[in-house]
Amino acid sequence: MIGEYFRPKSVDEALALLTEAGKDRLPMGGGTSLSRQQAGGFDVVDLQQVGLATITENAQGMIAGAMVRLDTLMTHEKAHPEIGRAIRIDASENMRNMATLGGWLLSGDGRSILTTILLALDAKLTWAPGKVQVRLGDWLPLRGQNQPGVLLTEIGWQTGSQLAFDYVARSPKDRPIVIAAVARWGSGRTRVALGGFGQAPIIAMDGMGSDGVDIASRDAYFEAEDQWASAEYRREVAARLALRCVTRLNAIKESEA
Amino acid sequence: MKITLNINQQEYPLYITAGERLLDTLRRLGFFSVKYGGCEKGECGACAVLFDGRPVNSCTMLTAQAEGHMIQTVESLGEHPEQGWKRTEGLHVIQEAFVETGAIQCGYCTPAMVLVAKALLEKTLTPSEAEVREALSGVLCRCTGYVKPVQAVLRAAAILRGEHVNPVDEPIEIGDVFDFDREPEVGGTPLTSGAGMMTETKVFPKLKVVDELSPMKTVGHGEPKVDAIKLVQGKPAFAADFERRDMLVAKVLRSPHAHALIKAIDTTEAEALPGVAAVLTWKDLPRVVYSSAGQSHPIPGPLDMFSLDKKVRFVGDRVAFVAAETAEIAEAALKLIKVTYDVLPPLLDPRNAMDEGAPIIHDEEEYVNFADSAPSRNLAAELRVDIGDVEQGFAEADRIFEAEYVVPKVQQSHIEPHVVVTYWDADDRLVIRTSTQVPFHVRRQLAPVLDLPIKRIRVIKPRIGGGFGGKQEVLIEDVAAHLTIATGRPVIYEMTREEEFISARTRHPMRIRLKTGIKQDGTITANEMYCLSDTGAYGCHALTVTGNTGHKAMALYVGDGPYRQQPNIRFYADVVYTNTVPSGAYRGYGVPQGFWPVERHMETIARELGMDPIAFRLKNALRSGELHPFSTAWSEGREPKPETIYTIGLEECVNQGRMAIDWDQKFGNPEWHTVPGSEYLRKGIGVAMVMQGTAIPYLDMGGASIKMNDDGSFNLLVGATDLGTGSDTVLGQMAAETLGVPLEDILVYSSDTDFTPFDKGAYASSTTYISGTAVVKAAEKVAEQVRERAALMFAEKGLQVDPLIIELVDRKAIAPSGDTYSFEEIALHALHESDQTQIMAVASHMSPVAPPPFAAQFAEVTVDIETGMVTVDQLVMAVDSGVIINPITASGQIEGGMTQALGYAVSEEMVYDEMGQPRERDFVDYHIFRADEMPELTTIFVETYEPSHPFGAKAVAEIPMDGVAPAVGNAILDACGVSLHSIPALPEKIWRSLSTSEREV
Repeated sequence: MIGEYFRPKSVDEALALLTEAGKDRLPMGGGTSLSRQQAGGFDVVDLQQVGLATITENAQGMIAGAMVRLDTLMTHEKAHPEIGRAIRIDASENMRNMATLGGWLLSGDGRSILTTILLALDAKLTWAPGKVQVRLGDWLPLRGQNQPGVLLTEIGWQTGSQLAFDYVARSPKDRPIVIAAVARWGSGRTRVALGGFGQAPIIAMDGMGSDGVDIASRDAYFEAEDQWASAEYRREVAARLALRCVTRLNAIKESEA
Repeated sequence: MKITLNINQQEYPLYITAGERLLDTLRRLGFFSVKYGGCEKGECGACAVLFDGRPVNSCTMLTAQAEGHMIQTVESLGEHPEQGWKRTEGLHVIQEAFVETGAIQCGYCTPAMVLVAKALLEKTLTPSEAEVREALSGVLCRCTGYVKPVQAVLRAAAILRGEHVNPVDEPIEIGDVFDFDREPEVGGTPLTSGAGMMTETKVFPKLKVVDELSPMKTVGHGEPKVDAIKLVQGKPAFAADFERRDMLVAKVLRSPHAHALIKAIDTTEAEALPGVAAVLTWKDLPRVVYSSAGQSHPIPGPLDMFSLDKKVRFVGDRVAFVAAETAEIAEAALKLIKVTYDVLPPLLDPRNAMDEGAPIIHDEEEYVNFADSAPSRNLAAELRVDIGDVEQGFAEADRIFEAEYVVPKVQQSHIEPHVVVTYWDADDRLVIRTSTQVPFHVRRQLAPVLDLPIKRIRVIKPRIGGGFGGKQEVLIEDVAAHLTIATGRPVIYEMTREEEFISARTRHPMRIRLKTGIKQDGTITANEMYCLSDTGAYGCHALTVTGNTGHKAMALYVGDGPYRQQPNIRFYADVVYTNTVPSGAYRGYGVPQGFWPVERHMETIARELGMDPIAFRLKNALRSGELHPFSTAWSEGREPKPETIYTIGLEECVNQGRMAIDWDQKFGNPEWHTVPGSEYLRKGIGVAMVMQGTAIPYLDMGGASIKMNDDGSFNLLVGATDLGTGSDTVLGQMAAETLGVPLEDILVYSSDTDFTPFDKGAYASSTTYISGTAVVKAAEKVAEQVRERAALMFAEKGLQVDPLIIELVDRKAIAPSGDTYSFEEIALHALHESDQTQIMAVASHMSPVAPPPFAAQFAEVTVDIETGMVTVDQLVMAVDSGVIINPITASGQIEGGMTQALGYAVSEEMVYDEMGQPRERDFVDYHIFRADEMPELTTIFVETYEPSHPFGAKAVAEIPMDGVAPAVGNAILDACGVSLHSIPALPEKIWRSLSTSEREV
């Protein structure tokens, strides 16, 4: 049961509420997760008016406020088309009208395509207070344990990279059981993220060139077994999907050439 | 906390709690168009509202979040165009389009869909079909297959653009023969919208008329549903849309163990919690054994359950009932009940159920056997049916084919959860307002459980938000009723989505072994099925569902030549208990389980013999004029009686379907099977032929009464239960056709045990056939009285007319001379002027036959041979359901059924761990298809005239469940050589087969 509801007007006001001594308070984005919490005894701090709902671009890339709704990101003209495609699979129309990017990253699990591709893009999270920056890949394994700050304020990623993902599910819009996402930069740096399993997607490879993406993916999902799929299946299919993504990126490169 | 909400442009100052959900607030304020789907994660979208113009789910939003924003519900849109002396602007264009196109079936998700459509069309008036589907992706619909809702949005867009749209009913008249050489006509919306072809032509289904009929005014036309206008406005029409002073909220404590004895249960703290009105355990209730299966008397199954027991038999079984002032208090009280369990070893694998030393699930002394049930062996039912000489048939065969197949436990997943309201009326009679398919069975079966005589119970079935068999169960009514008896107060009990998954009913999972003897020329000489069926913890529908598996699926292929005259068929089944959620009735009622193995088996045999799979099937299939082979051997535990099948349009269904899917260009064409640019994709095409039943002969009965009103309109009262299928509408159409009036003059009221005649309820695809015949009989009697009254009136002015030759047309009685009296004149004369009498009649109907519908189901798939992922691209179903009373509602049944069956084929299953804990508890894990991932659906009706129905109709509702899975399985085989023996067609299964030499999985 939620005790009290607050709607601060600024990040500072939100931080003050969230850090008040003796209070168990949680920040709330779209509410899609927090509104259904049965376990009681906490207050919510609704962030809808703190000003974190804008998307900005600079030379380095794109920065989305934590309160940017998935629908806004999906339809943003500068967002990579693969981001839009991922959101369409991950969330229905109603859900993406409510859910925020920050909330999605905080409450999601390993079966989100959006989280997987942001991991492939080496997205960085900014936390308040202090504008502490943490790479998504460093934060995801520790999510829910030692947060780098009180409030996730921004998610940023470079926009110059190529990006492709592929997935397997029981139906086209079902939650995937294997996801492979590959980002490749002009320098040749190639980063492979895998999803469809566990509490969070993982990095399978981050290096120069695309050689070995299949081997790395197979190794990364060596023990990825649960009620939904065997580890043997996941590792072999992850390898195959990663190779497909690389093939697609190569095709893009050739067409650009 | 105090807030102000802006709802439909009106300010509402409110006191709320911080944790209150917007859904609850809106419903508390009377905005009943906002529906509760039982889900907690916003999966179903029935609760959608517009939030600053954008669709959002109100179940996953705090009310406090909504302050300062504009909330819009369907109540703000259109209304009935005539409100007495006041004229209104009528329905919104989108609402009108939903009504006209048949986009409304149960109507539970309709308000949400209308709002989503409004939001989309405010962004663009030229949406593509893909954009419409994406917009609808947040609202799950289990009834329609999304075809008609998509069409409704496209049609509304065209109207809003100012374009002319044709009447939905216009393009294809009854009597037209579908001509494959002709370019398809496009009905409804013009194509200028940019809409895809996929949905554009689907409003009115294609009809192939085999037996020509004289044109009719109402029957055969796509009349809008009689309840559509209220449903599209979100009126408070469902069981939970009901307010009553002092109503308590019920919650149920459920077992965390699959098998356990309740050693001790302490409710002291729960009872002491302020706001708790009652806590009931097994100690508080009379120990009355019963069956929750909603079936006719006597129940054809064991009596093996109690409202509350001291033993729990599955995770989710009932432990205690609580009634409290609010849901939150009731939930809190559940947590205060202290239960000590003696945990017993669970029995989870049906293959071990009859083993020596297996845990015994039903050891209660009150257990009442039915037929061969044997609880000491965990056996709920046993079937042994032998037709002909099976061993001789095998001896005469050139080849024997044997294989085992497996089908999973799956869930009906109606979007409206089970919900019931109970209260004492002023006469101290217990009123039960419930979402049921079987109101009369609820009354009869619940009476002893509550220790009330039947005459002191009234059951009312309001609108139902889908049932699919899940509400052919006396599942929840006793919970609220016991609590009303305990407290004297009204009680509402509404199941959550999790409760639906862990404690409602499911389709019986089965393991089926088939053995078939074949001559080299493809003649079947003998066919044998052994079925191990898992009824779960209780034997609901155990015998009858599994009996139907053989009765329908093993009846289609009788063999050819002398074997056709004397088929050799064996069907044996054991139905066993396990410590899992009980199985029960689910659309198709055992038949989809049977056709998965039969149709996969037939495909294998045809390919092994090198025969064309269609020709092989038709060679051995039943033909018109032949006996239903099971009719001489089995009839749900009653005496069987021979039954000849007179109408079989199967061959024409095959012809229509194969052309619609372009079978001859695709099957066996290597080029078509590959996808250029995607070397890892393979396309495949498959077929399945199926039959179902139409009601249960010599058992199912429906009644109807019709009376004439002063203005010449008629009240039609039926016990039949419209659970969203449109049965009220088709029954009204048949009455209107018989009486010579438009449908709008028939006021249909259904399913109230105090006021309507008996009907066994909505199951076994029986309503149009059984209840419909009762309606026609009653209408014929009324028509006779109308003619007699008209003859009397003609005589009063000196014109002698034989009543038999008076025609009833267009609300008039017409003499051969051309003289007429309007129905209003006749009604006023009868009620007020001379020889006063009430023109009215009652009739009922029971059928000695159950003429089966037949269908050819086609599927086209793409298989990713590197991952095993299957994408179903297209489903075509050609159906012989006799004469189609309402092509719009009937095609809606086919589209929705195919969609449910699609889930059965590729994605839906309920899985339990080694302790019996269910994996599926919501629509996230139990994925049902969204609007934006659907294959193309095509429905074709092949109309035959079934002589045992007054308008020639047969059943339509269940048969679309039967053929999709095997057609998809056969298409997968065609695509990549993998012979699936179990569903769903999970990617890993197919991948594993492709990765090894083992092609059968």
